[in-house]
Amino acid sequence: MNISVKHRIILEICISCFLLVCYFLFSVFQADMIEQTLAMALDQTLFPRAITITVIIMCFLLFYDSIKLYIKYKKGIITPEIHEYYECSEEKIPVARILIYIGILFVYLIALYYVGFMYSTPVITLCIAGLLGIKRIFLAAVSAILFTIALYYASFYGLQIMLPSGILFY
Amino acid sequence: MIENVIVGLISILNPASIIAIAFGLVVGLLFGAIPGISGIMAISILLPLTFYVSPLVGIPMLLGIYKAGIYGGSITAILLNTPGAPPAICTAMSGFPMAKRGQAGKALNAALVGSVYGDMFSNLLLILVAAPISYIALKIGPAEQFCLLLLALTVVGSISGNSILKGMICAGFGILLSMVGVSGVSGAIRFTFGSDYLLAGIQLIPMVIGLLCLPEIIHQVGTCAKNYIEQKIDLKSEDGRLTWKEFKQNFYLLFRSSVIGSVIGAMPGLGASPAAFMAYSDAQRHSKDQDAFAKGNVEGVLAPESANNATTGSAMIPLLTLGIPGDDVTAVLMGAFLIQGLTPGPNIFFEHTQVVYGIFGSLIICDILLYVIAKFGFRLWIRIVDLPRSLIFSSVTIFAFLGTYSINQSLFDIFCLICFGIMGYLMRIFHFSAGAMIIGFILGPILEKAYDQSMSLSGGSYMIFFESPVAVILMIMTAASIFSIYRMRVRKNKKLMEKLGSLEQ
Repeated sequence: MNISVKHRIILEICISCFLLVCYFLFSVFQADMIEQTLAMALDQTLFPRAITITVIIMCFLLFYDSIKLYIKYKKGIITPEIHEYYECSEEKIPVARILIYIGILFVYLIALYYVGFMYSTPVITLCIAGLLGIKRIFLAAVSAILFTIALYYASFYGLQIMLPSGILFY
Repeated sequence: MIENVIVGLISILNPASIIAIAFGLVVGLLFGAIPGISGIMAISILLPLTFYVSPLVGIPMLLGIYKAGIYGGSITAILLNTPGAPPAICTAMSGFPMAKRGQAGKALNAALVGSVYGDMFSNLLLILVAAPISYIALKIGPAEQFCLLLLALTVVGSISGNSILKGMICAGFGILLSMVGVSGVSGAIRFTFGSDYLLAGIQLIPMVIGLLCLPEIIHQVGTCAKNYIEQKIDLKSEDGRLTWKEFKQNFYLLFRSSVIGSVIGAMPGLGASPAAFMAYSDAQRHSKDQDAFAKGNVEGVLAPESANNATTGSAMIPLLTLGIPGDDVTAVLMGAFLIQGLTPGPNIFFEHTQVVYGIFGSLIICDILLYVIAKFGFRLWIRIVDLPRSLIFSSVTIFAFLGTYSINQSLFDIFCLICFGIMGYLMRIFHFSAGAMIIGFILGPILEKAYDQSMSLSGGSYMIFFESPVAVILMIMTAASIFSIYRMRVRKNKKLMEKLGSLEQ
């Protein structure tokens, strides 16, 4: 998928708007999110509030900038930012592959919990290698298994780290 | 001081530290040599490992990765015309034509000699100037420290790409994230949303690996193209090595480039790439045969390589003496210090003298071992460049998970890693700076502590920041830094607009 310059600028407006709303809501409810446990002379909400307000101002300026950029784009004026977007618009974003990869990461997390490191790691290694276009599957499978065993024992004996063994096999 | 350096050197001369440095160098060379993955990824993946070893084993290992990673970038730059790391772009400009001419061995050797020379130069500079600067910096109190950290945060302006606003938003978000959990100053529980997992705060390691390592792998998932080394590599004939005569002829060039690299490296936010470009253009300007640079010559490899490696030692000057991380790599290194219970800053020279001088000693050992390991492993690095990407990136993913899990043995950290990975990739697409966020996250708690201490000392009066002359000077320097960053950007944009205008015509 390519993101055109126009869509990129619209996305910038949406992102800055989203950030502005998020930080604004965060600042409104900030005091409720801080539980003071000790009686302190200083107001403990002051520093986070100062940072949040600074970020809100930045988000507003970013929103204003992106609106200005959209107007310039509509008028056909090329600014350095628009020029950069033109360069980026040529970049293809393989959405499906990226989503599959992220999906594999979440599956790995769940698999670590249920089946543990030893069983899930070779499968996940192979899946990622497959996604990246591995040719020799058998060789890759053998290396994935050896790699997992080596990592497991290196962690256990070298660093005394117990890798997850999975609740199904516990 | 000389006594301290000798003690430091002796303290590092133990098998564990030397093996750790050698391991770091090999990993750095591998990660630097493979296009798409970089030294900082290796540092972030191996950062958790430092948790289990002493500071004089863990930190030298990371420093080894840092230095070797920058040199490693030149291997692919010379052999494939694909810089393994951005600072090697100039090396590719002169090194690849040399390789095409059958002088790949000479170019690789020149890159190694340049790198080791630059490294050694900046390490000696670090050893000589760090302690005196820390004596001066020791005189600062909490108010001055707060102002100093504000000055440090202006580095965000330099590393945030085209938009300072985005960089500042990221740094602010990083500071806010650092506040999650129980406050170290007041004990207040902040922004946990009722979750017990967040009580201990967000961990640095999942964040660093997630923001720096996973986005790169996600990016590579879409571009699994493979490069092949086409030319034959000869390492034995005169065309395959850098001769003593060539080294002597270019000794002054190496010195000049190392000075450029060291000065640029010590300035927060600039990094190795501008140093390499400046040294390359300086070498070209002073060269008798300027056209030879594009056709490939030794000077064009020596200059950028010595300059980009010279930034590594001098980048440690602001980090160790003032606690200011100049870029994302030094920010991660600062994290490694914090994991070990060492807070970089002037006090480190007095509270942990042996460790600091041990680290200085390790820098010298790093250089010697870098030369030996890189020189004798040329054939291996060349083979590694040719490895299938599918194997490399699947292994790196598993290492990222393992590294994250190893700190607290918690699957929640892995969940955070994935979330930060997705966030990092989106930030990359929309040009938000992950480095700025990490700097905010690391400096946030120190900034807050300095602020709280200042307020406690002054009874809540902000005048404390204006009463001390050092604080005022630091405030002025902060303002000057912001102004100079703004001016630099305006100038850069103006130049770009002129270029675009001339292109349109």
